[in-house]
Amino acid sequence: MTTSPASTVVEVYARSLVFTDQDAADNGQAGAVDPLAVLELSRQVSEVVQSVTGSSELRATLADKSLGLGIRVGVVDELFKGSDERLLAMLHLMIERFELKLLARVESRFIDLLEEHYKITLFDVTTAIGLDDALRKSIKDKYSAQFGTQILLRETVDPRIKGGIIMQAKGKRIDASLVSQLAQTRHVLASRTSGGRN
Amino acid sequence: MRTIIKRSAVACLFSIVAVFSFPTMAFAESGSSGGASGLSLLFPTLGEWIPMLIGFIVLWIILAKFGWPMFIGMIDKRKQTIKDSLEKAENARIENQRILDEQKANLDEARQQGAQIVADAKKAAEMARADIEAKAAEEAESMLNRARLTIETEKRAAIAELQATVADLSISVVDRVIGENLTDADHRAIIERYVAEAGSFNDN
Repeated sequence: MTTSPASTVVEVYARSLVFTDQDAADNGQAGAVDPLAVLELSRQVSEVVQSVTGSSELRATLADKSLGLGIRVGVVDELFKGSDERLLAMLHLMIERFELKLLARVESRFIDLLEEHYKITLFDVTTAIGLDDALRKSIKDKYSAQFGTQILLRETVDPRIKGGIIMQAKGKRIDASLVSQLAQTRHVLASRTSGGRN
Repeated sequence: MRTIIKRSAVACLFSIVAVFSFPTMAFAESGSSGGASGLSLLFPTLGEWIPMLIGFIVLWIILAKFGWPMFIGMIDKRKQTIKDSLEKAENARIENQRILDEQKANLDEARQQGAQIVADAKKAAEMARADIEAKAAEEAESMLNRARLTIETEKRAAIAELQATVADLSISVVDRVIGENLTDADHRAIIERYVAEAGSFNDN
């Protein structure tokens, strides 16, 4: 199967985020995974992608050819100060080559490479309140057996879901939040002619 | 030829009449002969008869040459005119009769056509009346059906709206209960139960 030029570019960007110079020196052999570092990097990548894709004004500024490269790079450095150097370097290159439109694909491929390289599964959970250690353990135990890999939890607290949990991994999603269940209940009550009873 | 003979006879007769009509110079005898009989007065003498004859012949010739042809021509022309007139009159009469017959035939035909048109018009009017009545009945039925359908649709919409309102009210009550009455421990218990009950990612 032939890959398009854009796919090749995405692959290069994603690999630049996953593999360090040490990995290259080790001929691509996976080193020991630092969960916190991996989670932090993935969090930063997600934040950058959301910021760029969610703001048309920022996208327009970074893609404005009339502005000098230094100005556009300065904007990104200021916005994402403190981010991983590999991430910033990748952003600088994407800005220079006007390839910011590939960011979402880079993030997706980055996650895949990360999981393949470190034999992990990045597991996003969203809850109305913060998880405790018992809950974390129960989630990791259940799904590490299922995926056969180490589970790294990326936790998000969102009171808007009212309760329950939303889980996402490997591009799939399980929505067990109270807000979605209330919406489903409302749909059943509103659509059935017998008031919800069969 | 017979015509010429007939004309000559008529001309001769006319000449004799004309001669005896003109007063002739009577050589009146001075009275010496006083003794002429009355009968000799009736018959002309030789001295009178020759001039008379010459005159008669000249007159006859003139009449025969110029008068009679003209007279006969006039009579013939008049005869022909009368004949032509009679013929024309006859032809005109025949033509008028023919035209009259034709007009009668046309009139009869027109009467028949008129009667047929009236009959056709009556028939068409009757058909139109029946058609209009049928369409009116059909339209009335259609309006009734549309009205029934509208009523049914609006009833269903009202029911659906009522159901939605009841659903919204119920959910808002539940929402409030969840927001006000669930503690963190309750939330964690719910999360633990959902994690335990949630299926595999491969099922989605």
